[in-house]
Amino acid sequence: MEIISGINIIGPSLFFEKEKILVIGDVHIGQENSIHKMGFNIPLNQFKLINEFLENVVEELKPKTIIINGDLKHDFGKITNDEWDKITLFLKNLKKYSKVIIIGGNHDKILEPIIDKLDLQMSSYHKIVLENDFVYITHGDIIPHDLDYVTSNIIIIGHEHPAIKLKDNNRVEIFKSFLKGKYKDKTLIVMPSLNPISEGTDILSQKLLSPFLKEIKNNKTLGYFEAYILDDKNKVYFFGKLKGLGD
Amino acid sequence: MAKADLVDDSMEFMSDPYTDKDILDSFTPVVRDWWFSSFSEFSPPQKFSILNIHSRINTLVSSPTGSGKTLSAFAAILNELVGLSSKDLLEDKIYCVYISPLKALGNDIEKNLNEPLEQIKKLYEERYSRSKEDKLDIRVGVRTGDTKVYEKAKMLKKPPHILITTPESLGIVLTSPKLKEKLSDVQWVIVDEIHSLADSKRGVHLSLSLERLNRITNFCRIGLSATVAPLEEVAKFLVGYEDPKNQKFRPCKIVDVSYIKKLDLKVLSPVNNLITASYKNIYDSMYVLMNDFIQNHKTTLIFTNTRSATERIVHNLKDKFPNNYSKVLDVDEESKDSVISSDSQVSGKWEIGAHHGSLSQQHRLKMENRLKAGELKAIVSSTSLELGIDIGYIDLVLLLGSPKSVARALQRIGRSGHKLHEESVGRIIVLDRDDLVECSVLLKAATEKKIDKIKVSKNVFDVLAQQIFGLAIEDKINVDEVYNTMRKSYCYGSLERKDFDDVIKYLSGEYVSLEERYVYAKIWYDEETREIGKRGKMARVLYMTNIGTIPDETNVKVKLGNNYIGSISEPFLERLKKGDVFVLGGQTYLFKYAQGLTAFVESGFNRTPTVPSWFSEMLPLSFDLAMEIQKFRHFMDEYFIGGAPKKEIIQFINDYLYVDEYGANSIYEYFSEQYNFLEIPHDKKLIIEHYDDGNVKYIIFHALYGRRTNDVLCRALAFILGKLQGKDVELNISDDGFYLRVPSVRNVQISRAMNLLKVEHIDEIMKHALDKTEVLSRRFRHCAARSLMIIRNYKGRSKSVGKQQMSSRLLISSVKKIDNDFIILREARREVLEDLMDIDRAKEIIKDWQSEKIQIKEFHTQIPSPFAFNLISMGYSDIMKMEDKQEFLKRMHSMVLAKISLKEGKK
Repeated sequence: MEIISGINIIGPSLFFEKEKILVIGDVHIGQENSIHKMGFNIPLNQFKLINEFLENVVEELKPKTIIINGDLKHDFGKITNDEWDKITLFLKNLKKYSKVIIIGGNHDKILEPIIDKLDLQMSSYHKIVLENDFVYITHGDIIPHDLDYVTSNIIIIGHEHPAIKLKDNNRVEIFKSFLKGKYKDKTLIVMPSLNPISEGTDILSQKLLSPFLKEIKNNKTLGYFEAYILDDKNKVYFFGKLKGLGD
Repeated sequence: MAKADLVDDSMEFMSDPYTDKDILDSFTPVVRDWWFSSFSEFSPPQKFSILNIHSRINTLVSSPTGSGKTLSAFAAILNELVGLSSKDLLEDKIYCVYISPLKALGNDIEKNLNEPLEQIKKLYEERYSRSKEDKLDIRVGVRTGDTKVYEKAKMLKKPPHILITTPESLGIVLTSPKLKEKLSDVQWVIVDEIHSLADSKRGVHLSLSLERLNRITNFCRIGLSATVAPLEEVAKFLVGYEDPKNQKFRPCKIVDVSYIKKLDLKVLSPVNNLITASYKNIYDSMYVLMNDFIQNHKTTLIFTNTRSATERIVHNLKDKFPNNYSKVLDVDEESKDSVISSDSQVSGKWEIGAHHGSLSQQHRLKMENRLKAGELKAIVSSTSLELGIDIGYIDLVLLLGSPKSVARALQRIGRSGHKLHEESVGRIIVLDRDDLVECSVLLKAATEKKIDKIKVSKNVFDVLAQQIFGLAIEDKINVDEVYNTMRKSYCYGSLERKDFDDVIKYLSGEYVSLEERYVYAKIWYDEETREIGKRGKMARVLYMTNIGTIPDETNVKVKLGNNYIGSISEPFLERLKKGDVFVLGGQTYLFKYAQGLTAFVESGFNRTPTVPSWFSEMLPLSFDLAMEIQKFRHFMDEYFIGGAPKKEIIQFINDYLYVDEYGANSIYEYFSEQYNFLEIPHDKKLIIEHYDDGNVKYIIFHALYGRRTNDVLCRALAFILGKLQGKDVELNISDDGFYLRVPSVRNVQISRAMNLLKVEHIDEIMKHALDKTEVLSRRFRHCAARSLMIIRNYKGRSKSVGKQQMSSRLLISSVKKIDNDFIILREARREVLEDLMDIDRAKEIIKDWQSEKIQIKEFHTQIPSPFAFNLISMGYSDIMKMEDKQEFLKRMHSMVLAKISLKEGKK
């Protein structure tokens, strides 16, 4: 489904049709391990599921570029052995098919040693110039001020792991969702997490993380954002404006 | 199965007490002197038990509080230790292990033991000592989770002769090599308050710890119990099997002197007429009534059924009678000013306070001490004061609402009139008509000592896993020996070998690939030598810091601005969506948003709740009591059908139930309304009432079997109905019945559903019916913690449940992917079906429905019948999810689209 002219929703990722650019975010490799360290000794198979999803997408869409929009790594403090191995494997795999661009997230403070070895760089944003639009992709944990940002008209962020709780009588279910709306004069797209373990934050009832969304909520314009909800099989449903879902 | 039906003579009820002379003859001179100086006679339990214990005969003692129960167990032991000490034969080892379910109880016992010990020592030195050095040296030591490290170290150097501990700490002691050594010659094990353990996983855990201890040494088992039934079950639980293959129990003598305490019980209604009085009127009068009672007694103990109600009662008493009461503040509250309302500056004459499980141990201890010192006028508790902590003199017990079982009622009321020959005075205050009938029948059953039966859980896999892990840490051990050891516990006598093997497979990580096993395996298992052993250096620490069976439950704080309002459970929060209105502490609140484990709300003045209350902590009505109520309904039905005049029926109620005139009148009116409106349901007549309010259809089952049984019946029917219709079915369960709810437009095939409800299929139906429920994922989380799949304390860091923010749903679905019959998942299902619910009773009911032993009648009503009224307005709600998540989303999507296009159309 198209979220904006030329950009499609493919499961929890975005695909620039003409440019053949795939954007993914909030992969949180190593979360499984950190969950294990928290005491959950239950195999969660997260890494396997992420790889399976990407393999299928890459096979089908043959992207030329893959942009990882922040929080590739999970653990803040250190690089665990498990993370080192898995991230290396993950990036090597992607590099086989396409160019890989890494945008840093708040969890990626010490990602550099790993990507250095693979000859990859990390930056705080990536810009894409389309025919009529200037797209600025960044993780979303801070609001940038650089010139590219100022001149851009479409912003793509992650960080928030947006999800939406739907309710019908006694039944409540939570689904991952893309959000699209206005932030000042720009169009803001918020991507859900690629990680199957993360169910996400219920945008309507939980405290928000991203300064973009916090500001929007304070201005009481969050209700005008539109939801593109994903089911468990990555099918997309357009649900219209959030304010229609709140009651 | 036939074997189980054989008369078993290993359990023997004692009918004749020993003579005082025989008992005194068994005492050493100094103990005899001390006894004469302290007591005038042996109390009834002592007459039976002291000589048993002296002769190492396993004994279960059931007697009321204040009957000298503690000394009935300890007298013989003290006597023997004194004898050994005086002959200088007392060694540095543990002779007796005393296990209490409560840490606080352990502290009490230490005091109650040390006092007589000091007296005996003093007497010995005055009268029997041969030299200055000749002193008695008998040590009593406490080891619980609160024991300091240096105290534990001291205990190793000089072990106590009597070790006071909790079930959890016993598990730890058994795995500590040095302390275990000191246990190698234990002579006696006393299990106090055994009734509170016998039907819980803590008890199951303890039963296995005792078998682990039994591998090292043979000992005499002593159980101390309040009034429960059947005592044989409790005795079997205490002693276990000598030979599980032939179902031969270790012998045990049962001392039942539970009948000796006199009771003065009454059921009271705060207003004359529960039907016409308004809700507010009833509550206001209830507080006036309570105040009268409190003022006319020295110290009143008030029981409520939930923790939140406990706080509410204290608050309201203080609010309504500010000159009379001031509240003893919680330690937390003293430091925070946010919760203290402005009226707290006004202090009343008497102090009152709360005591329940959510309060800090520090606060509870403070309250107990204030009670003992006689400084409190009243204390309000949920279940925490039911057990025998010494709380001093209580002259009245008030029960607000039904205690839901006769045993619990007796336990609660027994807290008053501490001395044996004093009467226990209890008053039950009822707030609605169902409560009135229930409590009146309960009172009859209590007076006639018809006590509801407890059920010991069998073949519990999560506890088994934890204990096998403990055994493997002790030393390498042959699996067959493990199997045989565990089967000696009454809880595992019928443990299937295959299930046992599955637990071993789980522990040795056979469910993951070989490469991953180093992460997930807890023990190694060598198929050739058939031995198991510990794996990894951390195994022992992991075991010791994670032992136990009591689940961590997260409470979500509810805040209005900065003010703390109360708490709700985590699953309840999960159900809340922005704008939902819910009830908490008698007020309605509108949910705004959540931040971690805090929910922020605003006042929901006069709004109708959109989410039904969550009654997960509510006590279920016992099946036996439910059947007594049904029997009463049956009598009433016959009177009405026979056309008996009002006077005669009221006379019957009066005679049958021992209620006062008001009570009898209210009950008569209630039944008469139901009879005239519809029919009276009872034990031989099930009424299914179809009530349609125009939007939704209610299919109401007047099935008074208690919530545990109704839960199974209701969910099984909802599942079948949902299957027939391919749609979600809403359901609501209470003790008095249940209903299914579907939109009015739909046809309900309830008769077809009833026909498909077959006993032989119920296990399979329930397995599916539970599949997507919150209750199963929550219980799975608990089971996973007990079996150490989820570790609370890891590498010395303790993780509160709050920090372990990991959706229970995700955990259970991950395990299902491994194997839908994974042993710990099976345990979660067993726990839900057998411990939380009562599938066996449900099967019996279904049989009776099918064989028409219970007649089934269907009616259609325009407004709900009187008996259905409470059920419609409250109860525990859930939904049977038939539609899968994808379908649900699709449907929601089309609903939203319709809304959008409608708006577009308007433009």
